[in-house]
Amino acid sequence: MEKDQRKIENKNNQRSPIRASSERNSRVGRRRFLQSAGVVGAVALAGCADDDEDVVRLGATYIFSGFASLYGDEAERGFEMAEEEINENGGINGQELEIIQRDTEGDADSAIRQMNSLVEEDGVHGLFGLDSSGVAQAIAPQAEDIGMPYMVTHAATPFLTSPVGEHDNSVGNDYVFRNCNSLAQDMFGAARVAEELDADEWATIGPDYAFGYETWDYFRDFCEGLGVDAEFTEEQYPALETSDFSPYISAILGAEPDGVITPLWGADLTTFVSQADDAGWFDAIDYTLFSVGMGTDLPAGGPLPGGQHASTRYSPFTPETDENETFREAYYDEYDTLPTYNAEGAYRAVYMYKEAIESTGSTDADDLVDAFNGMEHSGPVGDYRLEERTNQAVVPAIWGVVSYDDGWESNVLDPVEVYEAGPEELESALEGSDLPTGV
Amino acid sequence: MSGDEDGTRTGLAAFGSAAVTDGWTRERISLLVAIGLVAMAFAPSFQVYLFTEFLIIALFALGFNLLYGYTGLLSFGHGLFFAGGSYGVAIVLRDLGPVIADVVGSGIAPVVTFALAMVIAVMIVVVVAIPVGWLSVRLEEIYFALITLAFGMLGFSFILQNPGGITNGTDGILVLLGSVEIGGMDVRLGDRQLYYFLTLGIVASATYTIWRIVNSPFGAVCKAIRESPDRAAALGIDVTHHRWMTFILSALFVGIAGALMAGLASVASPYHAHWTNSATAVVATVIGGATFFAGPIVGAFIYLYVRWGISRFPALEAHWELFFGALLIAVVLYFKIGAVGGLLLLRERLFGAETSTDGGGETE
Repeated sequence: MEKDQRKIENKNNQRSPIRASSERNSRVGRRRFLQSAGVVGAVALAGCADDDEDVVRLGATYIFSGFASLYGDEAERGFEMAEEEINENGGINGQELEIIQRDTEGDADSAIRQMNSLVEEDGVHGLFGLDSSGVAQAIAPQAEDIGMPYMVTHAATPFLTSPVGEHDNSVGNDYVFRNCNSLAQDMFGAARVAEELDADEWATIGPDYAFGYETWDYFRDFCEGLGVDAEFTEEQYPALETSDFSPYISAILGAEPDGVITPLWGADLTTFVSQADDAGWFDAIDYTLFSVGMGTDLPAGGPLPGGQHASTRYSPFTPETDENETFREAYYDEYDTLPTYNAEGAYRAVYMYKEAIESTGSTDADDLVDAFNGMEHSGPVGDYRLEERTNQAVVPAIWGVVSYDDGWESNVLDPVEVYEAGPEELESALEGSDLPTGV
Repeated sequence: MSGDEDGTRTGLAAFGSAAVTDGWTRERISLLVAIGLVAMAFAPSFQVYLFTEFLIIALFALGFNLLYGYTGLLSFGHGLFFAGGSYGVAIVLRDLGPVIADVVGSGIAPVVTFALAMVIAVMIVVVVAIPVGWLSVRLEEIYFALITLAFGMLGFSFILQNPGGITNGTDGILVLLGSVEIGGMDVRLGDRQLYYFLTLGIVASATYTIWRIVNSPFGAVCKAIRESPDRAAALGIDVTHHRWMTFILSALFVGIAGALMAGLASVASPYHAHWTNSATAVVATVIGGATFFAGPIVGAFIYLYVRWGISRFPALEAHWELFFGALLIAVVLYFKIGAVGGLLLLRERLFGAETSTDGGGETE
């Protein structure tokens, strides 16, 4: 009797590894089969997602190719670090964490295909990522449609977290969240900076797409709402990947503003800064505000000129918490550079999923959405909550002065100013404007 | 694959005739392909999506190839017409949807709206293609490629400028197809299977139409112009006029593909007009073989499924461009007449049958 039981146990013990290996084989076999079956048009027989109970799967969707691939590369460092840390410390609820990364190519068609593939073929339990606001706005209704939580970590348009119906462009819904600060929060900070500066006339030079225009719209409306004594004189929108900024630079210099706000990023920012410097920009214009400039500065080797103002969605030095310091040190050890906000956003998104899954004990999409709604969380960026109405993280705007730090061998923001940018602050500052706060 | 029904009929004509002795008639092959296409609808949901996208890209490339492979004009701006189709549908759905719902009642409104949107979208594309084609066909070769590229990017900039708020700038326009109530049942138009059959029907008919065009006297004139415009002119053909008409036809089919894409991806994106999207048709056609009717279809299949295959392996996905590029180099180097040409050569080696060169499947 006892013997028999042991036998059965042995059998069970044996069976599981065998089953696992045959599953693995069959998966490869199925892939092969799919590829050839596709050619004969008989894909109908193929199986669906692997339902492996012991793994928590998350899909990471960023731009990994082309002009903006630096954002995907930065994010990858963040979520890989989180994945390693979590798996070394027992996983999520004892389950192993697997992150599958896909390239959105910065284009809505590809992003939607990748999202569908992650959900239906890989059986992911949740999604995170997205760099481009345009792509994020196309994805948002689809995420709701398939009922999958999407933690956006970079795309900044306020319309993403403004509930559908609030504004013509609003696409916010129950399934889409954002864990980093939005363009509205960033521009609120910019207006607060402008308030302090001795500058009356303002201009902008931004990339020729929604991000460039929205930056200017929000900056002006926040300035007006906060009662900043400012005139808005000149706006220039060079196309993405412009190689010669001189006509735009001359136009701005010709208008002789006191301050300029620029949301240029990536290679464009680097090119612009060197050409502006040659044209005597930083002598002629008192204040240049580089919104989101720090996201480019670190991976590009520090093109931002010292003494100018820049913002970031996350600072490696503020808040001065153990959590932030631990993350910064670990990241620096691993990659030899300070973490950018894109790396931190991706890193934190993984931990948010961990917390949501552990608190609900479930990987069910609707349970995760419930857990995220109004979630209070803490990460390198500090303590914050996801606002219930919008699913936007209530994180501060961070602005500071660019200065070179010999110890870290890179630009940092010092001194740095943190502006609380919750729904109340933004609502009162946007009173009279038709722009949504998205918080 | 849908195209295989019509398309490879030429490419595999020799295969068909050789196989007839074994009982493999053209009818039987067509029947098998048709059964396969219907069975496809019951594949895993994502495969239905991917296959639908393949059908759309195949039509995009087929339309493009009417001008490239058959008339000898390489257009780098067909994304303009693709975007015309997708934006046409998106704008009609957004702006006329409520009006139409008032007229026909909300029950069947989504179907009527979508059908009307398709028609209007294709009409918009034709209206755009008439002047663009008229100006472009005056040029040849690289100059033609450049002027179409310029028109394409002009369209792209136009969409980004968001004139009068109509194109919604870089964000593109969301396309929500809605659902219809039939006998108390709620049927979603955007349902994967339903949309697949819709796409299959439209793409199959469009493919058949293109097949008829290239095998008509009109198509014969196209080929004559491709081979030698001077000689065609000497025969009394108005070369410029004929190219213009082909340009418009080509744009029309690309517009249909664009309109279908808007419904599938649920968004009309400015990227549709970008030259990189125009290049999709060029690359798919070159991979498949521009001189074969089925070339663009096979090319589109390879283009999309290789990309998908790469994405299934995380190690490859991380550097997918590298592997994709290597594939392109291999095709260009070793299959000078494209994948279809390569397949035919392979078959010739294996079975020793003669390669058929009649119909649309001629080799250079």
